[in-house]
Amino acid sequence: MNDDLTTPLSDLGLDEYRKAGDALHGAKGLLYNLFKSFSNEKTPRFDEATAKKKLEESTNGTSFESLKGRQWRLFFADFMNNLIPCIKDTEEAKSILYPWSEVQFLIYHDFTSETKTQNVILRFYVQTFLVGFLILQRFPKLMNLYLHNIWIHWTNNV
Amino acid sequence: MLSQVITKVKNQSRPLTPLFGLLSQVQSMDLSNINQSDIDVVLNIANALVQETHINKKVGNKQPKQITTRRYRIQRLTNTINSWKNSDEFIDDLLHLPEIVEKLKSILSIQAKKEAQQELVLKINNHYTSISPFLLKLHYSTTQVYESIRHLLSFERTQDSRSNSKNISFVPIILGMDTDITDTVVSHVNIMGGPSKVIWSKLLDQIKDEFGANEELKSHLFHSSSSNYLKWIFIRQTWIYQNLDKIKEAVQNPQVTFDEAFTSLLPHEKPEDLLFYRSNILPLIGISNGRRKRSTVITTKEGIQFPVLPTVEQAKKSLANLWIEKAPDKTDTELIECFEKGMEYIGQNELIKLGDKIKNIRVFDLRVTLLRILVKLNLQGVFKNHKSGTFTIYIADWIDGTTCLSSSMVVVMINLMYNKELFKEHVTLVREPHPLALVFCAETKVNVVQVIKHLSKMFQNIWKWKLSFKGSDFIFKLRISKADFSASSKAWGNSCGGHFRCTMCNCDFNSKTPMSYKKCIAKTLKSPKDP
Repeated sequence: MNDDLTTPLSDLGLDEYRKAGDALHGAKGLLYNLFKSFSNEKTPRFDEATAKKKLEESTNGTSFESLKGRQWRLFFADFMNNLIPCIKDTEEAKSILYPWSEVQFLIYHDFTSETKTQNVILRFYVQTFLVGFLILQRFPKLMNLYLHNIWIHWTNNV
Repeated sequence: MLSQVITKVKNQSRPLTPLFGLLSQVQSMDLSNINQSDIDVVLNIANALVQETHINKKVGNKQPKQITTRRYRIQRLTNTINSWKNSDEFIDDLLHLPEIVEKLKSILSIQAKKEAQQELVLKINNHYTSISPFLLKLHYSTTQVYESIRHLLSFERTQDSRSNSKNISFVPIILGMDTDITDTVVSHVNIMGGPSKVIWSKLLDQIKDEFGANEELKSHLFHSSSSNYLKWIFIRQTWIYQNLDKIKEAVQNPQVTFDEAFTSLLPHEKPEDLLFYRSNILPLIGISNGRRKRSTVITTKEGIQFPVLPTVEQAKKSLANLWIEKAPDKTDTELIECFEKGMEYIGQNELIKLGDKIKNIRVFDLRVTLLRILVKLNLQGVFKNHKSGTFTIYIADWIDGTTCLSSSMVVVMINLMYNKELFKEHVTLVREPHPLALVFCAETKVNVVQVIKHLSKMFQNIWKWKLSFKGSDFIFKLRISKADFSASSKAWGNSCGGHFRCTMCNCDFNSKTPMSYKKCIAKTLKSPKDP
């Protein structure tokens, strides 16, 4: 706006201009934190060596510290192969990762061209809600900005 | 406070949270348009919510009424939601979510199948929006053309794969520059007193023949890219440089034909080996390991210096007929004609003051860019046969910091928003992002603000422009500003809270106490900003 605080937004053609979240960016932050939370669990112990091996196989990544967002999404998309073998308490982990997998799938979904959009949106809301809630049940300290973004704002973008 | 919160929830055109979203969706569900399984899901959720509310309210000792029909159950749910919205029990009811969640888990027991996961992996791979291809294309016109071509000719390798030559992947070249590079090589070889242009041409033919002899290698080297071919030439050139005396001797011998002489001098390595051959040679085009900085000038043993890459002028000359110069000065009709011929728009360099420094910023005129996008979409058959009229096309912008050629870079991009009336169902094509500004600088608050200010006039004027295209008039309006937390804070002039502050609702997570779901919602609702 170049410090112009007097001209009405409609005169600048910006009356409908809004902020929106960047879903893909938000995913990286959450997935990094989620992975860290899984790997920091002492009992049952997380198998880091297997995780690193799976990382190389699935994403060509060399270190979890330097993964790009896309690599994180890939790693979690195939969680049955990549993550579940490293986690001993698999059932609870699966209950988080299955809905996440679907949320991730749906965020790529084109909500505008789908004839049954309402149904898809409904499922998206349910799964997003479940993901957030189940993550917090297992990792209460994970209520951070990234989870907040996904939980609160992703659904605004649909 | 709660009444304000409730009012705010009720007034939201879009739900604030998945929970509210879920509830509002259920509330507004049109039963005639959904299938049986979806109805069951909704009903189960409805049942769970209704029962929870009943338990919570402890309605005497009575059991909840036997739910008989779906319509009735939906009605009950609607009443429940309404009661949530209209009473102070709203937040209290949230406390009983765990039970609801358990029920939701059982309801949604349909888990993602293996095929669905594979499809997701495919989607992630295909949907990946990379900035790099734009940069590769664009840098030909900048003063950093040297760097760009070097980048194109260099290997992209990960840290661990460096030790394994088979892991080398090549950066695709977008604009074919075989001729010019070859000419440059020829001129360099001449400077060195090496083979003449004719001999060099024969050498190239020789190399091409070699490729022709091995179809597998040929397809590997030439597949959608000429950079490998160029690299091959330069490696050969290196070899020639090292064996210059022998070559000179061979080609000057009237008893021996060039081909014979050259063949006898060729190294014994297979082409594949030579391509990955790195030790004991000084490549004229350095093979980058991604870290080592290389000189743009090579000094020969004789002390002759010559550039590794073609000059900016050479590169520009070779590409001049591929792009539109001074595009902003052209009329819409002229631009449409150029774009329909397949010409490219690569923006123009402008100066921008970033802090104490004056830097080049490559700016893509918004009008030209939008025109280019529409023409491209038209050529791809994305437009519907719509009736003539005036249409508004909304634009989304995206700002982010990235790295390019080992330097920080701020990138502003735009994309059209999908419009059902205008476009067929090629949503990805319509939404494809296009660059609007590129500047080599760090993504600091000052820099981002200056870049946005630099572009602001363009943004503010675009809605006044009416484009006549395909018998219709189009008006463009900015609709959405996308960015990550960092960039959006800086671009919108909010407090930059780093990893702690949400730029959408200003919710601050800079606290040692973990935030609960309840607090998170309450803070979001209390925020004066539009979510």
